[in-house]
This record gives sequence, structure tokens and C-alpha cells, in this order.
Amino acid sequence: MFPKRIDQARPFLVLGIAFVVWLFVPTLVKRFTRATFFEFQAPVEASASVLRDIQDYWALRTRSNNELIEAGKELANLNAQYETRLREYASLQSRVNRLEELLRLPSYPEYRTEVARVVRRDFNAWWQRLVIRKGANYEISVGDPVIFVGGVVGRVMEVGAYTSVVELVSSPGVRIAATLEGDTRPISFQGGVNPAFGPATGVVEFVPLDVFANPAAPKRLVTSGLGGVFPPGLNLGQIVKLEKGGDGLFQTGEVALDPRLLSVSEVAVLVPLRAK
Amino acid sequence: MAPFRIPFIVALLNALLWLVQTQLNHAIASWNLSVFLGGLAVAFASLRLTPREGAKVLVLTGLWFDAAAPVPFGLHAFFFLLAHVVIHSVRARLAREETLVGLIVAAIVNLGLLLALTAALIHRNPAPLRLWPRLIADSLASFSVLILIGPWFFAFSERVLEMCGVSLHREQRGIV
Amino acid sequence: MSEKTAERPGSLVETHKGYDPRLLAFYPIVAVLLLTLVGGMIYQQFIKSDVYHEREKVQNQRRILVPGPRGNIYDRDGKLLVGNRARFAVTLYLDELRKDFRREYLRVRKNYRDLGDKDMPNATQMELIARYSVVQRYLDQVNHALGRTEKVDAKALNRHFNQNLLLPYILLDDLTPEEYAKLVEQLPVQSPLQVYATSTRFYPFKSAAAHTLGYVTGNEDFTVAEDFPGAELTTFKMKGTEGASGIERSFESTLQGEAGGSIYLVDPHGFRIEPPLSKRLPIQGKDVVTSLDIDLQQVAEAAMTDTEMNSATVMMDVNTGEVLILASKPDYDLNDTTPRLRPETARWIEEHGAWLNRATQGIYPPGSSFKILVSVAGMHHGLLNGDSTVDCPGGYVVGNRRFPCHDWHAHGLIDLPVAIEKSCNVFFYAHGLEIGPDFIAEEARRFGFGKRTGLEIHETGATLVPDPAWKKRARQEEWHPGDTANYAIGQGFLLVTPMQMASFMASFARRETLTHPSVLHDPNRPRQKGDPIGISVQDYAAIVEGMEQCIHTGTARTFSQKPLNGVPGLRVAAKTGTAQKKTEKGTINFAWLICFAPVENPKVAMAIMIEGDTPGEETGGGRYCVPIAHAVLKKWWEKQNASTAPAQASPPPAKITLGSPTSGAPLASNP
Repeated sequence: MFPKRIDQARPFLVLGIAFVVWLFVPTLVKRFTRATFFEFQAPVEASASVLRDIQDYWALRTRSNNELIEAGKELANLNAQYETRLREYASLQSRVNRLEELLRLPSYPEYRTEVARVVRRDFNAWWQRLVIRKGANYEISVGDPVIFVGGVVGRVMEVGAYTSVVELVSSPGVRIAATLEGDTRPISFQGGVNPAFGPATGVVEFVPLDVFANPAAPKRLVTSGLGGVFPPGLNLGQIVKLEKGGDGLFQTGEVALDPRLLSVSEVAVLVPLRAK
Repeated sequence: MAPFRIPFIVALLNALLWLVQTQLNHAIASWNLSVFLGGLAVAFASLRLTPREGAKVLVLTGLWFDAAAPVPFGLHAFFFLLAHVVIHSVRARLAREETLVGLIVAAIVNLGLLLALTAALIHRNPAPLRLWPRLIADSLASFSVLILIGPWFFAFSERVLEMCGVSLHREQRGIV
Repeated sequence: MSEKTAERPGSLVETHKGYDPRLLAFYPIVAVLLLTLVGGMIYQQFIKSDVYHEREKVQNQRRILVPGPRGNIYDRDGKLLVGNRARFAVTLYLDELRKDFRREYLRVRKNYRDLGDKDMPNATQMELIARYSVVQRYLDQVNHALGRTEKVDAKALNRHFNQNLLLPYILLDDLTPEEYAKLVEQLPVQSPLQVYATSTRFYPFKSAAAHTLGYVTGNEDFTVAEDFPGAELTTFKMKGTEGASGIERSFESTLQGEAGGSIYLVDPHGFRIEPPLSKRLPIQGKDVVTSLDIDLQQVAEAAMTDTEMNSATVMMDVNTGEVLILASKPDYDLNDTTPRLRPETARWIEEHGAWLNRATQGIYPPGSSFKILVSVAGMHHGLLNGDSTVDCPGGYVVGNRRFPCHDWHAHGLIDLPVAIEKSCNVFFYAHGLEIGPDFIAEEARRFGFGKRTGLEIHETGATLVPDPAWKKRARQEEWHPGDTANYAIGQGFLLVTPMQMASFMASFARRETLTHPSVLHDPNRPRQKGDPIGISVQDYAAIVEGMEQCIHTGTARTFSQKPLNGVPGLRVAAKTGTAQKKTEKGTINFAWLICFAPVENPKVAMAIMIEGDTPGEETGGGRYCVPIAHAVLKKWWEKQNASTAPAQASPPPAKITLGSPTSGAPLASNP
């Protein structure tokens, strides 16, 4: 039997030993364990999300027929509008293709859009992530860009069998080569400043000195397309503040991201059409 | 009784707590607010189970939390175990079956865990100083939720264990 | 003792005698020893603590200094002439790779042991191998993102590791914006690999005003502010720059930024411990607004390039002395000097004689353009006036030598204005001999020849105003009348710079004797104030009449003829010149043109010089310099008219700060 003092310290000792042992556990084992836990969580989360959908369904069922008929009409109207847009888009696309061919321009990598429902939003001070209800089963892979109606959502960070985790553009782990709308000079964007009860913000670095922006006259920040991950021209947010950096070469600043990002419930993963 | 029965049941209960936390976070994400309830999971396992069972539960729960977060795998588990060890060293002096004591311990541990996680993850942030107001808001939200659902969680866990034929009072008699 | 215990048998309490005289001797000894100990402790802990603290600091702390970016250089309209360009590099902080190096070292050692290699390298060599392969692995990440196949320079890596461990190791430099964008997006945020931007000089107008603006060279020995902490610490300095020529050099203290830096705690192996103990951001140097007008400068340089000969052009504001154009050809693209001057570029510049700023450092005989000064000398001493005449038979005999007139052409009976217009040598031989070399020299000195003009950038001090005393002193020879004849037409020993000629022209246009030129722009600069020229209005008018006729019917008539057709609305007074110089290859010519405009209210004065490149070939000012003068004056006149047009009021330059060459403090600011 240990003396009482040592006996009291024993749990700490055991914890220390366990910690050291854990450090030496092969990465492969850790990765496998993590994946196992992750795949166990997936159905739990998916079920919760399906339950939420059912709840929404029953909520809708309480609506009167008249309301539903009105909504149906509006929907038909919207659909008609979208159909016209689609036709316009197709003709524009063919024109772009023709011009690209004429001018021998390299065409941007093409993507297949995979629309996915958000299972869970996980926004805290340390990270900002979404879990979506599509995974490897839809050929989604790590690094794929994710967009929504307001522009860039983020990048796929982890892919499970049926779910994927998207790291949001407001997360400090995401860095994007952005540019100002109508400009070509690349600017480094990084997420990470997420005040409570307010829209998410990010920071920009390497902004040329001739760019001016303030809350009254913000500048729109879009993806540059130069980084090789995001296609060009996707909305990132508005630069609302700029200040000269210490190096005298560039400015650093703050970007207000789209407030809709906080309540996003449907996203589109851009799956590159890779050579099979 | 199988040696893993109690830890397994409590780990499942903690997974349920995690699910509640995630669904709550999903709902309040639009306010850019989040809650963390790890302290509650730790407090129940550390105060009501034997140290060994508690450790087993918290390893499982920690890894479960880890799998759902972009942190080095094992970080939550380590912090949970550390909190468990600390609670263990003082629990003889606590009226550990009292819900109020459980709540106080859970709140303190929760705050400690939030700070520990922040210390481990803050270096990733490009503007660390601006993280603090958010952290304070999150801590307050977590505290409120913890106080609200803590009694329910303790009672629910006990009831589930009883339904599974485990009486914590009997199990632990004579150990402490 | 035994007796006492016997007295109280069974007692367990020991009793001691309270006082023992033998022990008394030890008390002082113990007290002294204790006092020594305490004293020593106090001395070490309190009195010498600063010394130890300082020693510990020096041992455990390192200082990294980053130079501040240089200030910008603008033209008088606020156009950026020299700025800073970002130079993107991908860097690796070697001190963050300690664990990687160690792991790789163990792996390399294990591999060698497993193979049972007889020639197993020693520990140091294996450390080098490990370091190389770890860094190459990181470089491969970059290669993968950029589609490159770069390899680590083992020597450079080793040198950096040993000498500059705390500075980022540059893996790839001068990335294109696309490459930088790729790395920003594809490298993990938390990685020892970081995209890093340094500043390097950037010249948007390439070779324009190259000599005037000057270039910079690398400098690791930049100074830091005296109040910058940590002077006693081991310091690592990132490379800075310093001005090597032109404005960059003259205004070094103004343009040079203020260094920033950080002080880090280091571990016993010299690796940095984050975060820094203290940090100070570098501050950009002050801007310099030059008096140059880059539009005019470019026009002048383009016209000079067309001549395909070495040349110089200076244009000044007559009233303020501000230099609008300071051009010298051949020149070099300033962007080729940055970030460092490559040996092949330096060789090219050397071979083409392009280092020399011909406008301020080239010395030439002024030829007939000097006749203006000789006229003023004669008038000032009452030996010549506007009505003076000479019958020119096409040559003039001095002693037993016949001196030719311009092109051996007989001008007949002519007065001063015609003599200037036609550049009649005979007129100036005759009157020059009358005036004499001393008066000419005196007048030349009165106008500032023979010494530096006082321009802020480097000027040669080798110009010469000869006189008989000088010839006696320097060459131990007598002054001959032939020397005077040559002197009167700007030949012989006389040597001037184009800068001096432009200053002279500006002074003459103002009817004064001295102009202090400046390359700095000051919107509130007062008018130049020299001594009055000292000749009558009529005499002055006669000279100007000759100069004005020069561009219509005189030696510079091509100015008004097709295809140049003059500058409508602008009256120009000019004088050409062609000076000869005997070289080993034969006689080469220097073509000159000096002028000012508008005649009625002089605003700008100009001097153009072109070095003939073919011996024996006639390189005259009328033919070669006139197109340059025409192009520049046309552009200047256009800009004048545009700026005085009521609708167009141009805003002042965005940020104007003038710096003095030495003080570094701003002289004035534009509101």
C-alpha cells in the first residue's frame, strides 16, 4: 500500500501515463478510431435532421388549403421565372464557350453541383462548421468548394460515408485567394472573427494601398479563381474596414460576411469533374 | 453484472447530452452563439460513478466529442479525464449525491473546460483578442443552459440506470 | 554530567548548562561567517542582480530587425516615379521544425544502421541530411501546388541554419500573383510554410530619369532608432536597402524607413520561443516630391533615343530653378537593378557608358552656344552693343592662323542679332579678341560656370573656366590670341555641363546672373533672386532678337520648317552650338542647343547636348538637337494651355512632403 500522499497523487500519475501512452499510439489507429466514432455519429445526426424535416412537414400540414394553394401558385411563378433564366443561361454559356474557343482561352475547371441539406450548424468561438447530408456516396471529396445563394460557404473538410463536414468561410482554418470585384490582384482572406449576436467576419491581408473601403462605402470581395480551389467571381463578403499595415506595402482589413451564412440550411458542393 | 454495462449506459447518456447540445447549437447558430455542456457529462460521471467507471465513461465521451470537432483526436478525452481526476481528489468532501452540488461542480468544470479548450485552440485565430467577448457570451449561454437542463440530466440518467437495474446508491456503498 | 543525572535518577529530561565560557570563542567566528554569508547573498542578490539579469538577457534573448520600407518618389504632379513593389516569397521558419529535424535524424540513423552501411556518416552529416530532406519535403508541398520542380540549395540552407536561424528561410522568391494566390489557398493555415511579402523598389516609368532618380543597393547594416530596445542583444537583421545614386542617395535619410523588429526568448539551442517579448512595427520612410515632370521627361527621352547617340537634356523653370527634365542617354531600366543588380546587367551598363549622368557629370566644350555669354561679357564691359557690326569674309586671321567662320560661309556686313542668328564665328573672333579672355572668364564665373550649380544630386566638379593665369599655372604656357578666338566661340579649354548651360539660360532669361537649380518641388518656392545681368534693355533685346530669329531663319531654322513647323503660339529664343573635340579616332562633334520660352515672359529654359559618335561626321545642334527641343517645348506648351484652361483645375498631388538631402526632416508640405 502506498502512503496516503502518494495514493492521492496516483490518479494524476495514471492520467499522465495514459497521456504519454496516447501520444505513442500510431496515427493510423487514432485515425481509424476517429472515423469509427464519426460514422457512429452520422446516423444520429442524420436522424435528428430527418426528424426536424418531419417536424417541418407536420407544421406545414397545419396550414389551410388556401394557404397551400397560394404558395403553390407562387412556386409555379418562380419556377417559370427560373426556367426562363435557365434558357438565358444556356445561351450565354454557349456564347462563352464559343468565345473561349475563338480566343483560345483556357476554360475554368468544370464542376458538378451537388445540392445538400445541412444536418447541423456548429458555430462556436473556435471553429465554424456545417455537417451536410451527403458524403462519399455522392463522390464528394475533401477540399471541394461549397457555395450557397449568398456566395461562398466554405470547403469540405471531412468526408464520411453519408455525411460531410464543411469548414465555413468564417472559420480561422479557411484561407482563400480573393480579389476585389473588377480587379485581378489577389488578396488573402481568412475567416475567424465571429462576434456573438452579429454576422461573421473575416480578415483580409495584402490589400493594395490604392483600395479604399469603409462601412459607408464597402468593397465587394469575390473569389479570384487563381488559387485553384474556388472558381472566380463567387461572393465572399464586403470589405468594411481597411488600415495600413506596418510594412507600408499593404493594408489589412475586415470583411463582413453574408448574414445568411448563419442560418444556411441548403448548400451546393461543387464537385470538380475529374478525369476518371 | 458485466463490467462495461454501467460505463456503456452512461456513455450513451452522454452521447444523448451531446446530441441535445448539437441540436441546440444548430438552432441558435443564427445568433452566432453556441453552448458547451461537456462539464455536465464530466460532473455526472465523476460524482456518481466509481472512479474507474467514470474514467471509462469519460474516455468514451471525450472521444465522441473529439470525433465531431476539428481538434487533435483525444483532446476532449484528455481534458475530461483531467477534470475527472481533479473532481476525484475532492469528491470525498462533497455531498456528491445532491443535485445542487452536481450542478455547481458541472458549472465550474464547464468553465474550466471552455478555458482549457480556448488555450489549446486560440493560436489558430487570426485576431485572438477579439475572441474574448464571444467566449464570454458562449460561457454565459452554456452556464444558463447547464443550470436549466442539469437537474433533468442528472434525474434522467439516474432513472435510466435504475431502469437498467443499476442502483448507483447501492453500487457505490462502501467504496468511498 | 553523570553526577547531575545521578542526582535525578530516572529523569528523561536532559539538562544543559546555559553558559560555557569555552563556547564563547566560537560565537564571533560563527557570527562573522554568517555575516559574510548574508553579506555575500545581499551583494549577489541585490547589488549584482542587474549584472546577472543583463547576462541572462544577453544569453536568452535575440533581436530580429526588419528595415522599414523606403518612402516613395513622386513627380511634380504627384505621379509615382519610384514606389515599393511587394515581392512575394514562400518562407519556412526552420526553428519551428525542431521536432521534424529530430525525427528525420532518428529515421536517417536507423536506415543507415539497418543497412549496415560501412561508410555511415557521422552525426553532424546525418543532421545535415535530415535537415535537407525535411526542408525538401516542405518545398515539395509548394512544388505540388505550383507545378514546379524546385530543389533545396543545401549550402544556402546550411548557411541560413547556422547564421540566421531566427529569420525565415526563403524557399521560393519572386512569386507571381497567381503563384501567391495558389499558395494562399492551398497551403494549410497552420503550417511552418508561410507566404511572406517583402518590399522591393519599383519603377513604373522603367528607365525614365534613371540617373536622376538613382537606384538602391542591398544593405544589412541599416541603423535603428536609439530608443530601440535590446541594443546589447545578439541581433539578426533582415536585408534592407540604401540609395546608391541620384535622389535615392541624396535623400537617403528622408527616404529610409524606420526599422522595426521583435525581441524573442530563445531556448538553449537558439530556437525562438513564441510569442515575442516585444515587437515594434517598421515605419515607412518619408516621401520625396521631385520637381521633375515625367511627361516632359519621357518626351525628351524618346526624342533623345531617336538620335541613337549619347545625349543629355536639362529643362528648368526659369523663375524657381526647379528642374523639369534631367535626362541622360544611354540609360538603363531601373527595374533591372532590383531586387539586386545582376552582374550581366552591370556589365551591359558599364560597356555602354550608361552609369554616367551626362547632364550633371558630363563635361563638354559648349561651342557656339557660349556666344550668348560672350555677347553679355562684351556688353557688360562696354565693348559691344546691339549695333556692333563686323564684315565677315568667311574666315578670320589671328596671328598667322586663319580661323574659319561657320561652314566657311561669308556672311558679309552683319550686326549682333544676325551674328547670333547665323552663328557667325568671325563676329565673335573679332569682338572676343577685343573683350579679352579675362573679361570672358570673369563673366562666365559671374554666371556660375566653373563650379557646381548646387543641385541636390551629384555633379562633377571638373568643369573649367580658363584664363591666361590658369593656363600659366596649369600648363606652364602663355595665353595666345588664338586661345581667345577659340574661347569666344566656346571652344578650347572651356568645359561645362549641360546642367550649367541650362542654369545659365534660365538666369539669362530672367536677366540675372545666377540660378540655383533644385530637383525638389515646392509649390511655394520663392522666385530665384540673382544679381542683375548688368546690360541695357536694348542690348539684351538685340541678343534675344538674334536668338528668336535663330529658329526661323538661323541655325535652328528646322524648328520652324517642315516637318516640325514650330510650336504655334509659342515664341522661342534659341542658340545652337557645335563643339569639336580631338580624340584618338579623329575629331568628334558635340551638338548643343540652349533656349528659353516664351520670349515675352520666360518660363522655361533648356540645354540639350548630343555627343557625336562618328569621327569626322558633322553633328550639328541645328540638325540633331532641334527635334528634341521641339518635341519637349510642344509638349510643355500643350500642358501649359491645358492647365490654364478654365474648366480643368487639377487637384493637388495626394501627398506631398519635401525632404532635405541631409536633415531628413520635411521642408514643407502641400496643403
